[in-house]
Amino acid sequence: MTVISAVRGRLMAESTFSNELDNSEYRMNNYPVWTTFNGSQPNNDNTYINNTGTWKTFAYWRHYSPLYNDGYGSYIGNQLLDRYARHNGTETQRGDHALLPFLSGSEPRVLKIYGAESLFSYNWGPQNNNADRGNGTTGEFTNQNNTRIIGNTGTSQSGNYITGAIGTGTSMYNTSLWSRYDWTQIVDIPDSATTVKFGAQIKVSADDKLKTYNFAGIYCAEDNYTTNTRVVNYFRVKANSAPYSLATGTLSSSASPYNWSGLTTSGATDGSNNLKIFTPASTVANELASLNQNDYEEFEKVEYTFTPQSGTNRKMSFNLFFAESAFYLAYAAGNNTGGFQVFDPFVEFS
Amino acid sequence: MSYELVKKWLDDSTSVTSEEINEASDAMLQQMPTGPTICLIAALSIIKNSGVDAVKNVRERVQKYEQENNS
Repeated sequence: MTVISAVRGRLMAESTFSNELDNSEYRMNNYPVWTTFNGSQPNNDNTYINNTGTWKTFAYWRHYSPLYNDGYGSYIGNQLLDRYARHNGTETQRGDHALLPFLSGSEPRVLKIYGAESLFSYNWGPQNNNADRGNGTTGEFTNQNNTRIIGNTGTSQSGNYITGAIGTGTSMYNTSLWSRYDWTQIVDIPDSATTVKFGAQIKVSADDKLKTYNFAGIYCAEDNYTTNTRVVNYFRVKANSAPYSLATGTLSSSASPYNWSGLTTSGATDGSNNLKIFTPASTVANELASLNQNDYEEFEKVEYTFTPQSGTNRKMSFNLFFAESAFYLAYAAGNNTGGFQVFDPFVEFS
Repeated sequence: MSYELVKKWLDDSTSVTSEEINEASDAMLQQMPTGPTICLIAALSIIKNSGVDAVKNVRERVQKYEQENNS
């Protein structure tokens, strides 16, 4: 006998009931596409609804990408999916989550982020085919021309870039360099907090796996603006066969500015209310987990904890990210980059 | 319609009005957000934002659209 289910599908529940993030389920019917300014902020997040298309953002979320594709607008690669799983699953597999139309966002949605496979070489704004772009600039700044195109580096690898040696002659055709695209929220850390817990429900679909050198995940950043130090705690998902590792620990002064630059955590803005960019002079990168994508073909909740930096009136940024290999960007084969799916990311303090 | 409009702009940028570009952009948001749709939204955005300085950039997005639409 064949039993046919009559329910619509399986609904994903919230990750936690004590989430410090706002709009963690991408409601409010906003759908940014293709490009916007780094750090772009609405005048009022609470009333930022029904904004779809280019030069838009999500309410409460700030965009960052060093990959300029429309003058001084930079690359957005995302789609939004239904939180109900379809019926094409099995007893052990949930089923796919359908692509939603642009105007469908009052209900909770799954965010899928992906790469570009292009350096957009004809862009008239900042040029992306420039591995040491921004060299000499650290700390908070507003000049987009100084944004590092390289946001992550690998450890030394035969035949490839060796950490600390990026210069004018460094090619983007390099499998040990990455550009990274973020969706960011700045969160106040309570003075009493001694532990930060963060995570999300994540998935890499079997039919849209990350290419070998791409990775994605979530990072939390804390900055010291006296020393321009950034401390990052992150986890990432990667291809099972990924033949590289990332630069971690306390990085050298030459490698630091090329690792984990992004939006400031201070909340400081430029003259147009966009958040400033921050390039660390010193980076401390703590890799909490490196996950194999084949283990996340179905949504799984992941969470990690770390001890925040000491102090009062502290702030941190929470960032969903997709890191795309510089080699893939330069080679521009036009393949699918793979997509990282996230539902209801969260932060908790204790 | 949007594809034809972008092609027309590439042939002669003066033959397309800003109103037509805006209408085409709005129309694209009624489509599903697939790769080809986003390529055309990108091309229209570049035309609006950058104009004739970005012909090569627009052409690149159109080629990407054609590649994805035919795959």
